[in-house]
Amino acid sequence: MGEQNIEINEKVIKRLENKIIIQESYNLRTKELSDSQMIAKIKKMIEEEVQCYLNQ
Amino acid sequence: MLLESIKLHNFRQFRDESVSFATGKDGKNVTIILGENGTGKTTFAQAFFWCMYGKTEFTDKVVLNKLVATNMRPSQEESVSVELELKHGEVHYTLTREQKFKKEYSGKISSQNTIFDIAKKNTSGVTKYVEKTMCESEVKKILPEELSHYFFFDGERIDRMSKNITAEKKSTDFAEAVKGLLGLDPMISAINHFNPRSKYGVIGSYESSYDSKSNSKVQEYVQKIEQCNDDINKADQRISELEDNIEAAKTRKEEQEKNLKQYEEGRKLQDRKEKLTNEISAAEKTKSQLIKDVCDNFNYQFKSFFSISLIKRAMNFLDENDFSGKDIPYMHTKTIEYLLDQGECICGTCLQKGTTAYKKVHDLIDFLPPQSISTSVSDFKKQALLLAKNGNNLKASTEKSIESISIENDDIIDKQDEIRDIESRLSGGNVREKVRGINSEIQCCSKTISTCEKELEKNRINKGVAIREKERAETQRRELALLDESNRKIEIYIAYAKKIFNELNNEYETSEEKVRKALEENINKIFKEIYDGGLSLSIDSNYRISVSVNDYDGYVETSTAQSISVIFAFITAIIKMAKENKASEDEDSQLRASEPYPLVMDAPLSTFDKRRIQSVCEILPKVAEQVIIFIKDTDGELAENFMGDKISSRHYFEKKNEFETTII
Repeated sequence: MGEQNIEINEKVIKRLENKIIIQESYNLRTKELSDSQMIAKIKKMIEEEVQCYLNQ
Repeated sequence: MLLESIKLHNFRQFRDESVSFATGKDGKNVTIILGENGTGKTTFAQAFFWCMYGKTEFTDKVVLNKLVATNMRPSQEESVSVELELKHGEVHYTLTREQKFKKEYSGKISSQNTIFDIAKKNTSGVTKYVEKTMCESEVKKILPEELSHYFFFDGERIDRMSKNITAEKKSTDFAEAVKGLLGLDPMISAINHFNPRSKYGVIGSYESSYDSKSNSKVQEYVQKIEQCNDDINKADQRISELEDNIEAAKTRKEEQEKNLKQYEEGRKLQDRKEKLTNEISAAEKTKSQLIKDVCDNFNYQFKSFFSISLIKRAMNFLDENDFSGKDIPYMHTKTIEYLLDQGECICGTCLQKGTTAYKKVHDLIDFLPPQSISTSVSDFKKQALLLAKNGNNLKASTEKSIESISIENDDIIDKQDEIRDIESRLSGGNVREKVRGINSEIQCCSKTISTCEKELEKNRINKGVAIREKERAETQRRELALLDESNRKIEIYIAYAKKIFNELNNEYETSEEKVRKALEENINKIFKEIYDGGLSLSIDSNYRISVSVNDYDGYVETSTAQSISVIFAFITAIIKMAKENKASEDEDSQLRASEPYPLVMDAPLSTFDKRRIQSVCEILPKVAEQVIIFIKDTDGELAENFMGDKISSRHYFEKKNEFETTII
């Protein structure tokens, strides 16, 4: 059993990448979230997107 | 960052003054502040810097107004403050720096540390104060100090900026700040948030969230991976330190090797100097010996020398008188004295005193021995001739010795002159000692390089081992994790997070190179518009700018006007690119859109000719979103002519006295 058992969807990756950069860009302007809040937000984005993909 | 207003209280010659700046709302983005020399333009420009970073370029660090200071009573306190309002992103900031001063009974003014406050008002209108400990890092996020010199531009200190922009070793902060301005900040920030080496990053925090209840081995692998991460971090940190040490040692070694070459000629001169010193010492010895010989000869032969005149006179006397045949052979004085005592000669003649016979016999004494007179005269003549010869020898030998001493003296003087010349070329000091010192430092650098390289290799091996162990532990953990539902999810999230992290890194590398190339093109384009010479600029991966003459391969020293043009080109290109990203319809460029920045320039035109002033005045307001320019009256007329339609507000500095300037 190895990494090949986890299938990674490229579209999900691309979508997440864009969302994360937009969020980072927005936060750099507004300074709304601290670093730890940003990390939590990114994790939430990943989990939601992955879960959504897995549920399909 | 756009500057909205500044308020100065007791800041040097500004008692209570404030200025609002053009922010480009009506299409006019230039604020021009005019003043004659000495009215305080530089001081006013420095107020921005003092407010943001607590520093000024003034030699006198007491920023309190001199009149206020003079009128203070003992123990009275007064304060200096600068309040800067600006907009950064969508947040309004009020930066306030205050410093209290107290007059001692001795009349001395003592100062306390500055107090810095930042108030942030967000889009919802809520104002929050930044914690004291976070104020500096908040300012760094707005405009890092390293980069601030380019935005708070001081034309009179252009030399230092020019050196800084082309400096061989640039700090990482500078490169990071430039990348940020070029819109790479969101990507850098995202990469930092994913950082797999940090326990608190996206990947790290997933790593620590495995559920070990179902299988204790999972926890064991998690700990193993954490340990490996620590080891990798430590190795990385040490590798970075060692690489810095090696770099520093190599730079120092190169410098010293260059120094050594310069001293090589000095070493030859030092050799020559030592040879001459030895030759002078030998000549001094020879000279001393010659002087001693002259003295010895003189002591031995001076009697002969000084007798020559007496001998001459004696010889003349002997030549004039004939003593031959006057003496009686074998007759002694005692015999004559006996006869005279007897009163009778052997011939029977009576020898009575006073008689002619007595006188004649008595006169014989003068010619009688010890030797006979002719023998004595003959001996005397022989000795006299010998003495005269010796006397003449002394003169000749003394003359010869004096000639030799004179030759040695001339030789010594010539050599001493040459030594003086060498010493002036060596500018004092012992070159050989310096060469020894340099050689020893080169050896020390080589040793450092060698030791560090060995340790570097060791750390790289250790890092490699830790990476392999980590990978092994990760595979084993993954195998176990996939057996459990909740851990399986974590494993999937980690796989996605790692993939995004790698993609972001690849994307960043490509974007950074693309952006750097674009920056280089823009800088060259703007530089050509401003300067229009046969020069090209290039930027390396550390954002160092080098100037080269087209069709010439080698280092070029730039003139002041060229240097200032390089800086203008650099900063306007950055601002232009940030602005273009913002205005672009391309999604990627939009994502890279960064903050607009102001250009606050003190005496920027003073080194330019009229044609270049026109170029600068036309380009700057077009490129920068906000221009605040401090200018002397003569340049002000030109600036008014060339960018009149962009000027929103004009302010004039009126000097009331040496300690007070007001703004109209």
